[in-house]
Amino acid sequence: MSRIKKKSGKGQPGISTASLPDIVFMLLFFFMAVAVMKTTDPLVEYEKPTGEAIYRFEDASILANIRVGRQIGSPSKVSKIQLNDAIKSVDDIPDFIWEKRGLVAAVDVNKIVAYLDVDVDTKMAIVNKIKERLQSVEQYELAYSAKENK
Amino acid sequence: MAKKDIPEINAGSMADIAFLLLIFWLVTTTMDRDMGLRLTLPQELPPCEDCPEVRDRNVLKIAVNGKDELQIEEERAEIEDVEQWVDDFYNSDADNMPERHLVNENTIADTMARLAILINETKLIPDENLKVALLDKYEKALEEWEGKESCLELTKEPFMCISKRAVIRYESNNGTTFETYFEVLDQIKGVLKRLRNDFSMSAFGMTYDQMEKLEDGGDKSLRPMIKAVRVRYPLRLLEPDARNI
Repeated sequence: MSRIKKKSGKGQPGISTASLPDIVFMLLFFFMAVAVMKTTDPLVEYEKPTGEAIYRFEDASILANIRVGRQIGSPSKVSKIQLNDAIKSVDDIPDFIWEKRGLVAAVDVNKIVAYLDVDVDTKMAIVNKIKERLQSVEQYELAYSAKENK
Repeated sequence: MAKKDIPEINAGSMADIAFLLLIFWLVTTTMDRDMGLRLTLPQELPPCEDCPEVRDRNVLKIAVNGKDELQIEEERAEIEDVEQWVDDFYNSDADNMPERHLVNENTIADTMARLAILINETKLIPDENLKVALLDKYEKALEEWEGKESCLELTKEPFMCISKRAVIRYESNNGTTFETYFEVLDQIKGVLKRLRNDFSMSAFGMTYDQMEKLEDGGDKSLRPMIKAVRVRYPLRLLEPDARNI
């Protein structure tokens, strides 16, 4: 009986925080593994369609992102095209593709995919023009950004 | 000299540093992976002089107009109907569906022999331009049949192969909204994806998507299987230039 001693007057012992850095580093590495770098902020508003025949791109660096939608903060309902971080016209697309070809590694040039974020309400006229311009610079691989329906 | 203990570095602020890094990462990255519907645009070809005749049954016509109304083979249809039509396009023996031919050991041997004779004959043609054009054509045909042969070798099962002239012609209009255009396109590609996956699963015990993923990851051993699936269910999608209707 006398062996059990009661500590008294000291309150609860503090929890050791020595493993906290490890936990946080683990979290950090987890996020580093699953996340991708944000490229540019969208200037146009777009709602992606959903589909089933969706392909998941592993390497975001080969995607040449073209956004099409209504300009944010503008009353105009006309669809605009965003390349990099500016609103551009369809005629700028060939230059944009060439620029992208210069940015990726030489072995990846043929793997470049024109990645189109198109708003569901957009009329096909503008999309068809984009396709034409892409063909003119021999950029044949294309993907329409979409969400997977479950 | 007396040996002094090296004092321990206080790691108390380590957590703060790690948190800072974590928060930085959270702010600069996005979680949504890039996903999308892939499409390969056709290359621009010079206008062809003697265009081959296209039989009506070999073409599945799907069209969407500027009011987002769908028409399949000249009749009004709904988006849900696309699936059945495309499935029939690949699998049906009906009169209005594309021609299919049997691929087994005999047909492969026959065709290969015929092509070999044709190639030998063509080599004797004096007209240089004609010779090159014809040889090109026969060599393509030979390549196609070699693909079928390797497919047969892998599956050990004779199959019906869709005619190489069979296409799904998907026409949209400048006034079509992207949503409708996309939905129809997704339906067409969705059927093909399902057919390929089902076939691949039963033949190789692995879906086509999985094989493609592994191939992208650098595994080249799956190449013949992927080719075999593509021979069995080829992607035959044609999008004519949108007209203003």
